[in-house]
Amino acid sequence: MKISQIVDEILPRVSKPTRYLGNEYNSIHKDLTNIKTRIALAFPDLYEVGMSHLGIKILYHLLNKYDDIYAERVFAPWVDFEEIMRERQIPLFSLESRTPLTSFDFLGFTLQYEMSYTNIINMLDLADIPLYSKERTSEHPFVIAGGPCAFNPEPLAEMVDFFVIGEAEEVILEIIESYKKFKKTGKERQAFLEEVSGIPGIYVPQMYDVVFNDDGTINRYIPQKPGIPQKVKKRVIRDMDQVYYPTDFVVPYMNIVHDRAMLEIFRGCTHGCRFCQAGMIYRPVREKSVNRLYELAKEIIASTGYDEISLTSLSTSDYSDLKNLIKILTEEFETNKIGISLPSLRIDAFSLELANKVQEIRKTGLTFAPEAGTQRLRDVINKGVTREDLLLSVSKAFRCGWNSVKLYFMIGLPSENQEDLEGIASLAHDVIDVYKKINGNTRGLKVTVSTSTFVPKPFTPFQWECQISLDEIKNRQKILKKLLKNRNITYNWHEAKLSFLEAVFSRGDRRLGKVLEIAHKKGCKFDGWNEFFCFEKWLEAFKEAGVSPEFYIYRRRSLNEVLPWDIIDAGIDKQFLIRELKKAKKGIVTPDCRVNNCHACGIKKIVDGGFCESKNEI
Amino acid sequence: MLAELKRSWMVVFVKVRMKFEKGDEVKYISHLDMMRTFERSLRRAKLPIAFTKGFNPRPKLTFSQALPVGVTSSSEFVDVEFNEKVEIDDVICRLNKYLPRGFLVKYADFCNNDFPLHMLNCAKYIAKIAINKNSQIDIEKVISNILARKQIIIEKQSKSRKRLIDIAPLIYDIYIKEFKDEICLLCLELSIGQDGNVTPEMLISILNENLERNVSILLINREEMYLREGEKITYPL
Ligand code: SF4
Repeated sequence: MKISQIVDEILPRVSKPTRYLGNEYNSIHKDLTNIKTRIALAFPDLYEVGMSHLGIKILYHLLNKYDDIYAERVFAPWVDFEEIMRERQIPLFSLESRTPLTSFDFLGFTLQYEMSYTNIINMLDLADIPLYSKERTSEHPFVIAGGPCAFNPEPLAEMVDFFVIGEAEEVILEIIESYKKFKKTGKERQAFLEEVSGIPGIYVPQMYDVVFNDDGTINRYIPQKPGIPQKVKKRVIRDMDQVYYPTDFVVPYMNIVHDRAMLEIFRGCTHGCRFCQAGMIYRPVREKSVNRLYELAKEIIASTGYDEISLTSLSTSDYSDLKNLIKILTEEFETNKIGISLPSLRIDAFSLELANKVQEIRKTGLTFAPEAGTQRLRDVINKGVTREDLLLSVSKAFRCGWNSVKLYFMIGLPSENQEDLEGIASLAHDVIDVYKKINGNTRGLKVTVSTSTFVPKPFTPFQWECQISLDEIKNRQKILKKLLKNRNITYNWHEAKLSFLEAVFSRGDRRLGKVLEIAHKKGCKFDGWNEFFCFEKWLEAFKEAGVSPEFYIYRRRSLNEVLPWDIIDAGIDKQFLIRELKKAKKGIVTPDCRVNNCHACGIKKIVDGGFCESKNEI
Repeated sequence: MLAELKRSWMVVFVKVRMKFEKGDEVKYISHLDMMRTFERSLRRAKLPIAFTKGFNPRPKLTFSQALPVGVTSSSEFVDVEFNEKVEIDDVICRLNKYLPRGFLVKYADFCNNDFPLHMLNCAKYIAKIAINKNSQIDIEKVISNILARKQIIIEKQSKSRKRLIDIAPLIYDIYIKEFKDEICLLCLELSIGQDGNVTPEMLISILNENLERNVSILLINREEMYLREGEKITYPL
């Protein structure tokens, strides 16, 4: 029986069958006879999570513009579906044409968060594709991966044939071009890997030998052949108005996590928060023009019929002409009741003025991210929010009639102490006081405090730091629970054990591949989902692989240690990161380089000729 | 001010009732997802939908009773309000162009408020079922037994709790339309809406129990929906 028929039989028996239909409005169905290259775009999580992710959508529509390329989607099937697949021996298949993944030329994973790595392994297993790159033959697709976690590709180095570092819109086409030529030659798989290792932005891990020191740290990377780059430079799109952007997005039937049109307004961020990886790896800041955005917005609404358009970026408030953009968009969409939402908007007087026009704030309430409880620690992490800013915005908001506020913090930041924890609580209580002053009482007020645990990330000034111990995480959460006991406050915290694993994998090296393989064998998958996460299995996996997680989490790296991700050039100068780390230790802030001087982060050197829209030169 | 008043007077609300098909491609789309799909399709078709007033304006759409997930239908209804005059043919043509494949508006007409869709209380289904050859039991007999029963208590799972209901008064008719080579076309006329809901699956599972679990469902299609008052039948369109 064909896969398609079996799937039809299965669908009535699984939860949310719409996840597997593949025939949503604007989904692309091609006649296979003219297709030369087939690529499966995979997101290692459920449909509703993956379909909320912009990167995979851009690539899907970009690739499908070409008549001889067919890109299809594949997501991690939910456990009930997986069970039947295994029972009936159906290999993992693409959504659109229900073709087994082994029939594709490429299988491309998006690496959005470390805790999805076991899902990647599970998907390879379900697809009958050998886990290790070395074991694959001409029968198998090339397994490639990109996305933010590809900036430290090492934990997956032995499983992924090659990584795409940085923005993929241009390089993905170069890869396919090169593949077409390779196919004609009829050469071995290895020949293609050698070929692509010469394309800027491509990292082929098996082309490098990694030499380790006796203490377990890395001695060096040795390219196996001449011509293979010493460092792989990330790819950057130069002109955001010229770069392809889809308008005919697939419109899901089911209610997904972000169920609305997405309009990317710019890339990059220069606030320079010292814990934040996105703020470093997506530099430089590049905006789309108001005109281009206006045209795109109209087309997107016309072709999708969404009733909401979300302006996405790392920090919406930083868009230079935000006021004008919003004015133009609200005028255009008012009559058709199409809402505009501005996630990651900094709340201040200006944004409150916008708030009436903007759905996101109305729906989700106000969110603030001071990240740390005291000014001292906020200076250490370079988060430019003051208590006064926060309370002023909150009081304005309360006066406008809001009564719910969310505050986001991180615990375990370098140098955090008792005072900083108390600071978190006192900020929350200050917010309550402001409300009391304005309304006379605290009726209806809801303050939600959420803490995540600091995870040191590659390419940040804190990349050499450690995470606090599991016990210490629990201890600090306990302290906060006590300090935040108040009927107006709800306190949420991130699972400590997950942060622990994130800390291992975000700065891990090649030896972790074995751990992933064993963890998967023990049944780890969907680790980000409470009901599946099993820490004990992970600890066993570390033990069996002979890898100590503590080595990765609790060891402060020396500044001259060779780091696993040193093989990647993210455009950020190590010297800049060291300068920032030193400033952090002294509590000196580094102002945003878009309004201040350039701090020579290094990004200008990455592209020939160099470019950075920030006007101020050193 | 005056101009605005005048404008709001002139707003004419036009209500159009449509009969549409929900085919195989979209039979797993839930009622809620289908509502969103229609809203989006109307917007893509650039039809002048009217919105509810208030804080969170919603398009004015009213659907007939939810179809069970997995069941196709040749007879679903939706009332759509427009804030401008529209041409029926134009609405049908444009909407069909922008609906996902599997949905098809077959017929539409202006309507007033005399016969709101929630008054529909009866639906007719055709179920294609396979009955294992080994089954010695006569299905005709089983059906007439079911129809003769005064009370049929079944357990119904609603959101959080289970409750027992009597579905005997909710069954209008069951008969065999065709029976050839193990394949049986079953016609079921069942109550929907406020009086109580019985799904064709519920009945088929009762049949299955009485036929020693030899029945499997191949297809179910909703054929018609109407208001039934005794023997009198009124169609919504
Ligand atoms: S090059 Fe200078 S101005 Fe540009 S992002 Fe880096 S620090 Fe800022």
